[in-house]
Amino acid sequence: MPTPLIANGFFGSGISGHLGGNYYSLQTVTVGSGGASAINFSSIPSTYTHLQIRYIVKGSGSTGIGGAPWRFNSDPGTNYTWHYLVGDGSSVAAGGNGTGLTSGNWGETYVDGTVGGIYTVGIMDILDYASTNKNKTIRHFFGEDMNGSGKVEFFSGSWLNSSTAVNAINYTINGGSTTITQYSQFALYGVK
Amino acid sequence: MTSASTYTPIATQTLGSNTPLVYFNSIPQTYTDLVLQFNGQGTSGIYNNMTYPYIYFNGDNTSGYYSTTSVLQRNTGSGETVLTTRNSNANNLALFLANTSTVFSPNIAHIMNYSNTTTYKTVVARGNGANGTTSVDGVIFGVGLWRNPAGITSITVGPNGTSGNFLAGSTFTLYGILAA
Repeated sequence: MPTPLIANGFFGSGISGHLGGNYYSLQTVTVGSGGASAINFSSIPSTYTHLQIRYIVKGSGSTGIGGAPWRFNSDPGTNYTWHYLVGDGSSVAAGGNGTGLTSGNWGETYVDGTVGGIYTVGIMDILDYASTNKNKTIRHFFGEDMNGSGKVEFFSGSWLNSSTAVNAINYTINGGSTTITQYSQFALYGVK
Repeated sequence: MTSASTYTPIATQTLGSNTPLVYFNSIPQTYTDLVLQFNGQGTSGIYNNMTYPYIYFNGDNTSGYYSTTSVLQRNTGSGETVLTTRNSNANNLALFLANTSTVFSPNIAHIMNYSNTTTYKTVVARGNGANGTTSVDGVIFGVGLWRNPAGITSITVGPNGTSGNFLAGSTFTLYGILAA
């Protein structure tokens, strides 16, 4: 049984270049050959303005697309909402959900049984994550193309907690019942 | 621990004359992701004075190993339309747009884990074009796949359209992002 991968610690440091040194690499998780049941970022410092997560990911199992719930600060409460716009090459759809979800269903993840090959890729921005007086909002742009099928999606979401900074992020596929496969990688960045 | 720049410009080009293809060659394999931003205007339209630029990698524009899924908003002349398209076994990733009059259109492509030699390469991209004429404005976002596990060492950007060029003044910048 794969175990959760946890990126401990904060490895930010001064940078130069684009954004005037305002874009910092904080933590990265790369899944090894044993797979993982979850991706966890912890001990996220509150010293940045926004967070960004960039990733490639795939699940192991029968080919398809699985749910990808996210949680902040291990909060299992009904505090997550979302809306989306999606295109799959055949139709465009939009949808959403109000308050009442126990995780942020802010995405989907490609699943198949092979190693290598096609991965879902995405970029999630978490705005004003350190605020202690705003509900937290995210935007998530991701997709997977499988040469004949696939989706591209825009999500907006919220974690309805205005008083607590985001200090931990948890990601699973289908709530952890689907293994995250080798070579999947999640990188967390802080933006000043 | 990392002490390197995390979001770094690799190369920038501003076109001094109308140009059919823009190249980024000898891309270092030392970053995690690439971000390509360009602000382009085309000289030849495909639909309502809009063209749909493309990229391809490592000089490979003949293999048919590219595919895209995208969502596009545009005006048909009788109203605004949102449509989704799929292009399989293609020769490039046409995930962008560019006006062919008045304005330059901003586009951005995220080329994820471009330097690994294990996974196929997937790109998410989006573009906008708005010159104030409703029959020309548009928005696109999409995902594209190159079914090749090779590291990406070069990118070619083309404007699409018959005998099309990117207009002089179009700008192209390639960034590298390095994960810890």
